[in-house]
Amino acid sequence: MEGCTAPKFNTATLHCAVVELIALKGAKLQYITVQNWSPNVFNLVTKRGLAHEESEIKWIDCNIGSRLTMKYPGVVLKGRKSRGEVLSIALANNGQHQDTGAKMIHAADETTSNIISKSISIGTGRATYRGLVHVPKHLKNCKNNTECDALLINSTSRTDTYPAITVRGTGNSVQHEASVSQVSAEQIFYMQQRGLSEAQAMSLSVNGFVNDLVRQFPMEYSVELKRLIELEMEGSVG
Amino acid sequence: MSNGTAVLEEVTQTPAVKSTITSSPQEGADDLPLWFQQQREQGWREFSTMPNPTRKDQAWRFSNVDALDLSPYRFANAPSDDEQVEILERSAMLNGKSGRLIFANDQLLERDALPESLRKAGVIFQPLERALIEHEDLVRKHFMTQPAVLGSAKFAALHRAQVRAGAFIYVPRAVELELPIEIFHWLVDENAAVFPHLLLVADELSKITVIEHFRSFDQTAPGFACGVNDLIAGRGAMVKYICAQRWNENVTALQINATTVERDASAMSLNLHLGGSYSRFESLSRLVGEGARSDLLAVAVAHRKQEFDARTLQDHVSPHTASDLLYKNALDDRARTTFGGLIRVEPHAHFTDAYQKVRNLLLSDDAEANSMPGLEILADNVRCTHGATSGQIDEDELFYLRTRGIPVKVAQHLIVTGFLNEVVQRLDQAAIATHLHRLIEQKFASGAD
Repeated sequence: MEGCTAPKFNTATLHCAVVELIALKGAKLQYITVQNWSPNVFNLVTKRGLAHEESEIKWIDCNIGSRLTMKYPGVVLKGRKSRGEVLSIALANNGQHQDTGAKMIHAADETTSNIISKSISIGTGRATYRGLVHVPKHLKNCKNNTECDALLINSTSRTDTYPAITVRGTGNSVQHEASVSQVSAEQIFYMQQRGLSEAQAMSLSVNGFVNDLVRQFPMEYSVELKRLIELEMEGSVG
Repeated sequence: MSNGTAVLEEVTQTPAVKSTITSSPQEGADDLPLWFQQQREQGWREFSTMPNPTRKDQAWRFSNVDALDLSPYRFANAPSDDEQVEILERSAMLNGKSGRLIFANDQLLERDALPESLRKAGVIFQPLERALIEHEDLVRKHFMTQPAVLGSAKFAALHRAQVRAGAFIYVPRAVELELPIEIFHWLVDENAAVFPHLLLVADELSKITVIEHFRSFDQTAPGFACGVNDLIAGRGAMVKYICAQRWNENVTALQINATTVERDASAMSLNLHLGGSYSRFESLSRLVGEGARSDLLAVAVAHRKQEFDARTLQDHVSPHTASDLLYKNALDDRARTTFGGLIRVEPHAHFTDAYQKVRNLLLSDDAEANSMPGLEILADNVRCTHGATSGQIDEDELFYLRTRGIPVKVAQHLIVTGFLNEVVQRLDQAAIATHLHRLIEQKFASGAD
């Protein structure tokens, strides 16, 4: 587990890290990041994993801070029956650009990968998903599932999705799905009716949007993440 | 080729146009308007100065740019009399049509004019060269006004420099054409190059269906086609465009389409890609008026070493616009397909409803499908979704059909046809759908041997 926080300096700061994971036969590896840099940090990170036979690598990646983040955790599925997973939450507030994504390179039979990305753009924030899924030929029974959901809060918010998927051969199946939506006015209205302020209602529905991902985190992190989101959402409405 | 001598004889009759397409455009087209000649020169300058695309360009990612060597191709002459007769025979496609133009090697062979009633109503359907003179203002206003933003700017410039044949269609306010207009473009000689152009302007509340056929006379002769289409759907107009591309499998083809959809108008395009060794197809759909709707449909059947490369942009400029894209590819042998699509919602284009779906059906172990569906959303009150799937024939479906006594081969064929059928059905034009089905069947039959 890794948590990133930094005091705010006057000048821009660069954070440039490399994380490499290797899961040997049958191992299970989970790597969690909650990134909350101050908004003048340029965060350019390389994250990659190598999964051997029957192992599992899971990246859990939350990006809330920084001025610009470019981070695409990847897994090379080298061993038979290995599994790669990326769960990603990005929150882009005013002036931020969260350019995140995932790479899944299938290199053995019966490998499976799953990417779930959820992003929230607030104010002038911009969230981008950039993905790569590669299934070369002569592999059998490889599966990939990609889901990207984006939530836009204000009319100046922006979201982009740029996946690239290559599939060869007849033994594999890949699916990608992405959707972009807004917090529904009906939901907000319903909650206001029950006595919540508009901001509280908005914060609650954003937390609900990422809830099924956050639930998979260890307790301390999901609590922290929830608070961070509430904090970021403050003053974004009205 | 058996008709080689006939072609040589033709040379003496028509002015020599034998130069390769990568040498500067023909002089001596003095009868064309000055602005058009200037466009040609400008196109040529742009083509000469722009760099060749490379695989590192995002717009050409996954694409086989080596296929774009233009040096062998040249302008060909009009086909011989025998060839012309055969082309005319083979150009009988639809029984009911409003009008028809047939081009071979960029030369006009035949023109079936519109019925009297439509001409009286003010509908114009002419070869581009004639329209340039008779309806100069209209053509000038709309001719290649949309820049080629999907990667082929260099080839659009080449088209601008070399365009010689094409059709101009204008439908005046509230005029409806019940029957489709047909346009044929034939490639005849070996290494011939054509630059088909279509400019369609549908005025307020009008209604029109156009079908374009791209065909090769010879089943093996290599060739090159670089076409540009501009479709303009004015307020409340309904435009349907169908492209049936079946060049032979040695042709390199580029097609650059731009559709502009104005307020409350709707445009639907269906592109059937069967032929070509390398076929790239760019489709830009701009929704510029409120209430505009655009449907982008495509079917590609690829086998052997064919490569299909489709790039699309659904550009939502105004609020309350809708677009729906459905591309389906069936790939056999060593075929490759690439799909690069983008939904772009401009700032303030709220209440956009955009959808994009690409599905690949892989029928062999060596086939390769690349998908790059993309979204760029700069407004917040929108609903945008996209999906991309790649898979193979479902074993359960196959099993079910076999339990009903259907042989494996037939069952596979049925499943693939059913898979592609969904796209053609959306067209809602029975006669054309039947025709397209026949073309798909022919393609499967040709792959069986």
